[in-house]
Amino acid sequence: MNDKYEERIWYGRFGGCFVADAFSSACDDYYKDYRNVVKSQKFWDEFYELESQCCSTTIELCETDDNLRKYLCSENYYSILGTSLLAKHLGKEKAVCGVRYVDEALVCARICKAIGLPLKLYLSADISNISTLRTELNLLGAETNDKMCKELFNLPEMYAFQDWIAAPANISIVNCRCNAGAYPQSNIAMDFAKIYGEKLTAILSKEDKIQRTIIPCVSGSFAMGVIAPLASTGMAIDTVECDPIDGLSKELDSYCGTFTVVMRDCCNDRILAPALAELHESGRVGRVIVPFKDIAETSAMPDSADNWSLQSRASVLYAESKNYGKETALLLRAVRWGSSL
Amino acid sequence: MKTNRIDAAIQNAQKCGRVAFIGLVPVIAENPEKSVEVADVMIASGVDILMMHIPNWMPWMEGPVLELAARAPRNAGITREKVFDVMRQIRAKNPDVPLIDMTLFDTALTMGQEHFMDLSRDADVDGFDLPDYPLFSSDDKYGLYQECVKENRYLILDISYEMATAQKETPEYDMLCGIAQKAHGFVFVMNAPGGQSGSAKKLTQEQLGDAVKNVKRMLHKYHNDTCTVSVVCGISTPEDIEKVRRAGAESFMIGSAYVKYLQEGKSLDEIASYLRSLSNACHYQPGEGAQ
Repeated sequence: MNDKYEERIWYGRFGGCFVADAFSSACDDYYKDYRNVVKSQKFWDEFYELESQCCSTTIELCETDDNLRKYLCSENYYSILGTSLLAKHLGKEKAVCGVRYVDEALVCARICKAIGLPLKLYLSADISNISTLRTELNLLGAETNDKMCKELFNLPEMYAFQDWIAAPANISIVNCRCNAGAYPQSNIAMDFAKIYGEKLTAILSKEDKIQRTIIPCVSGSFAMGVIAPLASTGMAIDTVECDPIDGLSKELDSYCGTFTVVMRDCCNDRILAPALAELHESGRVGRVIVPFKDIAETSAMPDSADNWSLQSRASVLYAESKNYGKETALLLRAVRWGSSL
Repeated sequence: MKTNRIDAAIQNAQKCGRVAFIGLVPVIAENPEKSVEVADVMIASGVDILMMHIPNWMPWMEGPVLELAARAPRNAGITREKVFDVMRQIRAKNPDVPLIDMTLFDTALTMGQEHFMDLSRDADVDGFDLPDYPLFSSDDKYGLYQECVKENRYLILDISYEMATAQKETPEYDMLCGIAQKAHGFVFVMNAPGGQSGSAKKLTQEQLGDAVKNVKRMLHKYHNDTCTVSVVCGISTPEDIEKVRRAGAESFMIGSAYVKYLQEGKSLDEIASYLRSLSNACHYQPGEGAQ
């Protein structure tokens, strides 16, 4: 049993939640089926066709100055793409997914429509009141549920997971991030998310002398999806977080392992995503937290920063304070509408 | 070693010709001390075993009612330490009543397992219902099961319908064998898919009967007849309890059904009346009873 995936006794190396022994067979079967499906070239042909159709990845050099090379990066949708397509290849009747951002809800609905897979989306409380989003999702054929997150816990991934665990033979779960769900799901989502990091690594490897990459972080998926392949090149990595919510670490003390939480308190939370904690502890990944007020009060931000996410602005501020040379790549991400964990 | 109160309570119910009633004590967000009062009402209304709801912030095995019951204390800033304080008060008032921690394992981990166990010891709990504890998939890596055995506190293990009725040479069957060997006190047979509390989807009488019968057969096979069978999830009416009796289980657990009434603002008298109606349904009829 233990050779099926690493450290299954944890939540999973990339996050997730414990699952009762009573349901572990369903998880084992899911992982076994996944391993079989991804051996098929047909799966990957369809995967890359859908990528170009629904969620192309762009990583473009947008600015170079004396200190930095800035890359504008699209979001990492490979987990959504991979787990949706997996549902289809497993012959499931329906997919279920919990979403926190407008863009991921739309991408998920577009992919499922393209592959003819009925989809139920649990919307986080933050995006559930956007009526145009719900209309758009309905036009794409997705069933939406906003009640649970508004009235109970704002944990859309959890409700999707509950649906899956109650009927794993018929339903498949789509993971937007690798930190939700049971252990095989987080590992599977991470496998797909890494495709993003491999693309980025290939791009940066073509550039001369890039020795350091600065990564704005919100979720474990984006961070690990980028970090895992980059770390294997020996490149220095700095992750930058900015958290405007006071006391978030306490509030989230038993949530799944977002990068923010894991890195904030490695000792207590290392169980949530040991892979992240290990990289940090080994010194291969540096962790920086920029106070929100520093960003709010700075006058040094370029005009183009208006389009960047909070974490990207924090990354710029951090990079400039360090006075790194041109051998540093700084990743930037656009503003995203929704909420992180 | 002293007798675990869980065994005594179930044996006593059996002697009286009825199934034992396990009830969930919710944390009353507005006034946690009121939980002690609720526990008193439960005991006076026929509840044999108390399970204390220790809210988890990602309660994926709970249905909407218990999720709301978990969210309210969180929003009211009630810490888990405070919940244990309530448990200690319940214990002080009811030294003979079995008391069980009900939460998810990550509550223990995020509090610190040692701290969680210390607080549980202070309340002298008799058992733990931590349905996501990976006993078999981790081979008790966290040592919770062994710690429970050492202290004669019971780690309650859960069995799904699929596992209860699994064929030989399947992973589910192997796990059922493992549970039959390791379980103490009682095992929970889930009456709903996914193990969600308050579920509207329930097993049929025939399915539940098969599940209970198979689990008991397995317990017998491993000479673990002192371990009994309890039914959990989706039980809320006297008819549901009749189903439990006819299935041959020794106990059942209810939470969502009356926690919902508390959330709706019903008085403790009304809750007591509801609990008594359930308690009255616990007596075996001719031809029923645990085999």
